[in-house]
Amino acid sequence: MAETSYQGAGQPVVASARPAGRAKFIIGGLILLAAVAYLIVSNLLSSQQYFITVDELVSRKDELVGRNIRISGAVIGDTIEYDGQTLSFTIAHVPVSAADIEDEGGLAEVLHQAVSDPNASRVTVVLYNEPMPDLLQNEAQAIVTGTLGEDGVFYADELLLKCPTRYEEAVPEQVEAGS
Amino acid sequence: MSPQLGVILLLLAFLSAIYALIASLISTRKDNPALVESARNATLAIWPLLTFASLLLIGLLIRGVFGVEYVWNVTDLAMPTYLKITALWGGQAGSLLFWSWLMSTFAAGAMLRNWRRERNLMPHFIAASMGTLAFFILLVLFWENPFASFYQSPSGEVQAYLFGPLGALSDLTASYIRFAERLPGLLGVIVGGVKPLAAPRGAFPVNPPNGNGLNPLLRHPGMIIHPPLLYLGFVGFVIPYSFGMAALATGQLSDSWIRSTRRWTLVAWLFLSLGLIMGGWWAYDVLGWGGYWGWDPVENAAFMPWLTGTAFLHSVMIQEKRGMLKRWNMVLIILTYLQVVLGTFATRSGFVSSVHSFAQSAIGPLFFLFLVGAIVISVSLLVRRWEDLAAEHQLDSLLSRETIFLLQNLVFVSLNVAIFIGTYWPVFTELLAEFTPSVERSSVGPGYYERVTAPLFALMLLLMGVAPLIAWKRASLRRLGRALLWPTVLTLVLLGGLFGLGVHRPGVLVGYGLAILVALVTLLEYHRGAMARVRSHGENYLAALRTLFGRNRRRYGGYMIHLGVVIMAIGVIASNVSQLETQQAVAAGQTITLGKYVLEYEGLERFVATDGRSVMRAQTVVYHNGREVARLRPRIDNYPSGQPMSIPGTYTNLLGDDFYVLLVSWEPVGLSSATFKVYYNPLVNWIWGGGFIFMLGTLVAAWPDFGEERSAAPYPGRSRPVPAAGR
Repeated sequence: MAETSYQGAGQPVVASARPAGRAKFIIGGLILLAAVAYLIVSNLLSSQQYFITVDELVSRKDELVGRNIRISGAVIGDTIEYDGQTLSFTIAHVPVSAADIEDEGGLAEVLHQAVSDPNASRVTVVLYNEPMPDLLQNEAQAIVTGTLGEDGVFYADELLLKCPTRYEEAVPEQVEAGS
Repeated sequence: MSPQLGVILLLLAFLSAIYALIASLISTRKDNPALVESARNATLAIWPLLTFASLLLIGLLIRGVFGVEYVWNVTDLAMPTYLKITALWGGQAGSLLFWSWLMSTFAAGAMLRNWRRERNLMPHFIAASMGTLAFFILLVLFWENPFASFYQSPSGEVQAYLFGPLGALSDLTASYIRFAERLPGLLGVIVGGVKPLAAPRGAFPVNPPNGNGLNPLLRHPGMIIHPPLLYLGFVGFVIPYSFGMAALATGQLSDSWIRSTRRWTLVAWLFLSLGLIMGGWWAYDVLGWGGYWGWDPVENAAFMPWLTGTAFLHSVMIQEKRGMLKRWNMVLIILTYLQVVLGTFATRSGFVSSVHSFAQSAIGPLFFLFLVGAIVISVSLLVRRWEDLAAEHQLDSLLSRETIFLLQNLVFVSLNVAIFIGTYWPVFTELLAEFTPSVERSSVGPGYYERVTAPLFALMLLLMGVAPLIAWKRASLRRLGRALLWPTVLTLVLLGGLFGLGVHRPGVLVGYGLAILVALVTLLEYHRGAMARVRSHGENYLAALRTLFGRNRRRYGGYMIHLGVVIMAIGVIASNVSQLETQQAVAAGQTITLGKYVLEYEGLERFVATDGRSVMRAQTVVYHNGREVARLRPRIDNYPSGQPMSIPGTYTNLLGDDFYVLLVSWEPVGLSSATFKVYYNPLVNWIWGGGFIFMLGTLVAAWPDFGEERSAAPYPGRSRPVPAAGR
């Protein structure tokens, strides 16, 4: 058994090996930590996805082409097209900062305004071979990750959707209506 | 029974926790046995109070008292009774109450079980665990009260209050609300977030006819048991942490507290592990993307305390055996506790998605304050005892069991750090961007986690394989080489076979190779142990294996856990690197081919289920090599509340591969044709199977061993004479 195979402590070899041993441990530990740090930093730099607003995407189009980007916008219901393979829809600019959203009356209101404002910046998003998401509907908030193509279309490989005020509402609607 | 009774029960529980905290702290100043016992009784009293409050809430949920805000939020008339019961943890307020109830159960159990043996640690144990519990009940009572009910004021406003109109208290509540509205920023959010106490004069209760209903995604067996398991894991780790703090505070730093909490830690760890596995199963079954783990912040938040907890479970063995790594163990249990608290609130406050949304709820900042307090207290205690925690021995050799454990600990902590940085990267960059315009807010995707963790997981497998073969103190390379020879040869042969089957990527081969090596080494350890008994005791082989488990449960249970992990690892590798997927639109009678499987689409049906869902269901047949193997019915459910939900059809073959079919129908395509997304997930069921073996192994390791308890009893209980009346 492995448990019983060690030699008794107190042998001269053990005692003399100790100071050198300590340095070995420290060096070994440092090498490991350096390797882990390198692993983390290099991968962080290569896989960062920048949060960009639709406004920025439109105005800085040239420098952003090809970069890994994450944008958020309000889905315009009429533009949703799906043929079983390709899903495309247009999103309109919404502010990113939570404070701005709050100032303009909450997320639902911001999304509603973005969709009804014809002057808001818009961008078309295309996804391939994705199922039609359950939550994709007019005035949903879409958060898409992907790259901007030369043609101005955003090619996404990930789509997250949020529908505000679906669950955990503050006050029952039917009660409000009745008052 | 009225919801207001629940508020009173919560208030009593909160007062008990505060009393226990204060009484136990005072009793540490001057030894006062009566006061400690009083603190104990207060701790015990919380359990029935919270039990009663939870049962009361369950009763309200079952009866559908929609005048109660929480009931209205998470249930509706159409929900079956079992879902109404589990809606206890379907929303924030209820889950915090449930969390507190579990915590009170664990605290009372651990206290009674160790009362005599760890009597000296008890005052501080009570203080640490009741401090934690008091904070949670505080949140439930004032900010997230599940018993708050709707009242309509004479002016027509509807709001939830703890109590109905109560004369002067109503006026007081009204002026409190006006006061809170004037407070600026975060303070206003926290003070204003308190549930108003009494409804205005003349207000009357409101009873909506129906509720909002539980999010359909949560109506799944995996989701029903996943949160309780995670919570059990979370609160379970509060026990070893509280004992650790008590050991630091009293200066009784022998490993007796570790022995006393070993089983609690294992049980907490088991629940946390199962919770994570269940979460994966739920995601795989319900979320319909063919995967089980997405490196989502919520998942990461639960995974991080698991990592430090696992490291702690391993490194305490070194403290028990060699009196080393004492500081490190304290650091690990503190980190685990902090990450449990962080995990509970990071997922609830929106902290991960944005610092700003975090500041909009009162819960986030409060948790943050609590976390800072816990860090200050833990770290200052640790610093005070830093010298007393010096190791009794030094590492003797680079090649020893201790070194492997240390390395393994470093790997776990590295994983933790990497995942922590990834999870909170948006928060870091958002904060940085506020001060330096050149920094842009960014996040990292699953790719980051996969690339960073893969080599670390591989290293962990390697350590897992060699650790059982390496002796304590000092091992010989020659002996290790001899022990590894045959497993390595066999692994290479099997890898050759895999290469022949078409697995050619080097990284993947390394992964499989390590998994196979660990499995072989572990099985060989069982075999060697059993053969030694066969030879020395003349037992037959199976009996020898059984005694082996009986004699050293922790060790052989631990090896079983390793086997479970290896099986899961194989499932993870295979389902990640060899997954096939396609998406096609087909008309009735047409087929989709994926690998060796063919899916034939027969037709679509539409019907309304008894609970009001309208269901669109596809009939499909799966063929493997031309032979019919299964009929699958993937479907889309439309709940009355409006959110549709896709439910996949899955065929599992004998190897554990899944053929996973999602109906991806879209209106314009029409009823005659349908779109399917089809996945072929090789060996994905090994993950669940490995999880089961993992669970069995943990049960073996944690199973109460009464012989051991008795033999250990005289040693830690040395300082106090046992009262004569006791036995």
